[in-house]
Amino acid sequence: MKMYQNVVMGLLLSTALAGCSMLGGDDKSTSSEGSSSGSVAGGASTSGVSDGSSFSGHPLDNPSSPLSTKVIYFAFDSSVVEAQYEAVLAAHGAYLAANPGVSVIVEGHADERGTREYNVALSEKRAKTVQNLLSLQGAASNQTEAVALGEEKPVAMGHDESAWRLNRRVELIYPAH
Amino acid sequence: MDLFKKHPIAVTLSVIFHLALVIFFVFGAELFNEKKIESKPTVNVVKATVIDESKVKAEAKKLKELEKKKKLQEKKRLEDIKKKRLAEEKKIADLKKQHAEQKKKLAQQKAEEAAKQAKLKQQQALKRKKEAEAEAKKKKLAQAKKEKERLAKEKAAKIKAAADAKAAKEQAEREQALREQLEKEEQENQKRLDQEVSEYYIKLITQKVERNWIQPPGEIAGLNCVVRVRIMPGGDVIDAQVIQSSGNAVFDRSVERATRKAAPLPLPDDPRLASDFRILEFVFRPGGQ
Amino acid sequence: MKRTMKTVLLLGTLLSFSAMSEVLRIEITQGVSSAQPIAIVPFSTTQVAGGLAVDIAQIVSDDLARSGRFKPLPRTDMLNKPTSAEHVNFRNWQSLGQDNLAIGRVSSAANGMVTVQFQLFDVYKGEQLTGFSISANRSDLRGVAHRISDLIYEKLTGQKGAFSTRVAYVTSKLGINGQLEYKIQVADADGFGAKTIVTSSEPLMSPAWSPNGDKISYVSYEGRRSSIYTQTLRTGQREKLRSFKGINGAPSWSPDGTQLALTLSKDGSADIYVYNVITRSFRRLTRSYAIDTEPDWSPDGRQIIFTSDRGGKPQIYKISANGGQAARLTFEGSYNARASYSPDGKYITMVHRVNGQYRIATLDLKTGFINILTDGKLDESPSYAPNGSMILYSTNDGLKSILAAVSSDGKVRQKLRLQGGEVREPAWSPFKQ
Repeated sequence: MKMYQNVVMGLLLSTALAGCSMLGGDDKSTSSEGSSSGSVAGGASTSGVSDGSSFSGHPLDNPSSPLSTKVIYFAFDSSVVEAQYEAVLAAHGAYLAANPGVSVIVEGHADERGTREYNVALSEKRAKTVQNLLSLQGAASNQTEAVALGEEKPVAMGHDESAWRLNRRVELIYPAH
Repeated sequence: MDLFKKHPIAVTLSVIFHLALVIFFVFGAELFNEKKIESKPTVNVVKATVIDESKVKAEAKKLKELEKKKKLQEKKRLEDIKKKRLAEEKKIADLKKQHAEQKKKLAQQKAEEAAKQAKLKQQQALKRKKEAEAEAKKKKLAQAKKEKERLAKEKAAKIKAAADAKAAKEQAEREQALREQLEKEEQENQKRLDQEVSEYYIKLITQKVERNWIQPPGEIAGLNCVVRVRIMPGGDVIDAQVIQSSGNAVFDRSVERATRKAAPLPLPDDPRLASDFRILEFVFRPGGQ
Repeated sequence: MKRTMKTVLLLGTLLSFSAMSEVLRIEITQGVSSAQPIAIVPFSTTQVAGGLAVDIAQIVSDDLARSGRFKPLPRTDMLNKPTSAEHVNFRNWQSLGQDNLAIGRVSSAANGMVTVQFQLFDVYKGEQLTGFSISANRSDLRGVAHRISDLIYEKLTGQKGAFSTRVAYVTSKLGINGQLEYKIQVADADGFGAKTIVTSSEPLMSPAWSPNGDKISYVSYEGRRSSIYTQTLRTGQREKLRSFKGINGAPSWSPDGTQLALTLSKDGSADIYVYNVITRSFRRLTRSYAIDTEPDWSPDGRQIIFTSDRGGKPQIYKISANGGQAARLTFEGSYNARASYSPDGKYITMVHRVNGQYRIATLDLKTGFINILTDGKLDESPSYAPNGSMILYSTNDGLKSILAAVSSDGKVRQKLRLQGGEVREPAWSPFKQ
């Protein structure tokens, strides 16, 4: 089923993209791989099996790609990036390195506990840590900008750990794509 | 008459003799005195012729000597008379004496008799007397003893009394001293009690004023304000006046108010003690000393 | 005549001496720290054409209660309600245990104005303490009431009243578009008459009054980055300070109005800088790899205290406004932040964490004694009243963040009535100039 859907999607997209190739900017991912189908002599129809990279959307939006993860969470009072996110940041770093024209805002946040301006600074530490890791992976310094929002823009409004842990984060904000 | 009965002879003789003596005496003097002595001066009338003085003198002298002789004779005669008389008298006297002696003897006898009697009697009497005396003495002794005893008793009593009195006095003194001491102790106790009561009420008053003193904000430690309060017997405040300001008007007002709000102040029931609480001076000194 | 006087005087002195020696002296070394009972009788408005929409006595009552130093008598407990001195029976008020009594009358005056007269009495002494006659516009009656509160407060505490002051704060509320809308508002110190001075779809933070109360500086995230603005209240005009990469935050005015201390992270980590308003130049004050932020000036303009985690955890430090070595001030607790000086310079108030709970505390700078004033879990942003008697702060009532006031000795707390959604970051204005 999936293969079939992929084939159809691929066909449609190729058509669409062919028309849109002048818009869309720097997206080179006109996905056309893994969609060959043809008839082989002998009458059996074969289809190629597609891997994850058969996603024909924006790589940043590819759900199977670590790039789709754009939020990194932190432990309380910490700006240390946990091991689980290393792959994500590696992917983003690599992505940025591969796309020098792409810039990302590294937006740091903190949970509501503690004073507001101190939390701004704390969230900046987180953002800068992420920023450093990205540049280690090859991102240029002008590609990333660390912005610190402190506790001012929470995603969860509760007053307990279930909300707080969601607010202790760094968001990677890419421009619209 | 008893005497006559007992010694009739003696008595008769004695009477006769006595009578004789009486007669003798009454007339005796006349018998023996045949001449009366006339003691008339002899006046020799001298013729007044001129005579030789020496003769005269010799005459005079002769006369004088004659007179003298006469006188001497007279004197002698008188003296003889006297002598006689004296002899008579002596006789009489001797008689008298004899008589007297007899009498005396008689009397003596009598007396002895009487004396005997008397002695007997006396003895008896003596005895009796003695007895009586003894009795009396006894009595007297007894009395004396009694008296002595009485005296002794009296003395003893007196001594006792004195001792008692002394003891009583001492006792009284001791009691007095004790009373005084008790009184003193009582006074001291009362004083202490009074003080305790006063302190208790001071504590009550302090607590009530503290309860009613709302401390002004800010730094007040070190401020010092004295409020003089005049109180009525029921504890109501007649007036309250700041007599020593702390320099901080708000502080002064707050402490003055506290003393007014605390009215009526608890006062001791005893009017004697309550009189100490007529005027109170509250020293507001937050933070202690 | 003179002789008699002399004798009388002598006798009098002797008597007084003897009286003196007998007078019992009682030492009182402590009282209670409770609020002063005061009765504020509704002002008479019969002389005002058309009546009054504003209940002056109620405003005064609320003001005095909020200060924590007074306990106004509920109207229902008043035996009678005199509005002029001749109808005052002090015994009545004594029996109600009221230390002080305020009465008043409002009457019409020329040009549509009104005259407000009020008198303040010492109930136990049976004397008038003060009385004023104020003329004002009808539209300004709340201001008159606050003035009366100030006058009463001053007379009875010896301290200047802060009831005619204002408070600035941040609100955030979900807008029509489902997005959060941020505002900075300025209201009377009792929360009435709120006016918005700036609205934004991006966060607004850290309002800070200039020393004469004519400007407010704040942090705005419009353009998605932080920058500092200084806005003139009367005109609504604002000026953006030169902003740098990274953090631009925590503005704090110097007492002489010539400088702004603020936080910049342009040189690495968050540090304290001082901006000269006149020369528009920046001077770096702290240099550390740690976070230094949330500066506040001492009342004499010589010191700046700030939050720093150079020791591992956030603590309060002090540095000379001219620069130099920073000295640590807080040694109790593992989290102390957002400190600001009391107007007399003797205390600082700050957020102090104890057992995971964030509370408002004061630190006695002389003794080092920390007094925890609140008991919430997420109390923050303490701001002193200009007379030092109260602290406004932000707290959470379980549903949302609200403003609350606590007396600086911690004895009385009050919540402020403010409309709107989340309300936070109060900044108490200086005295009305």
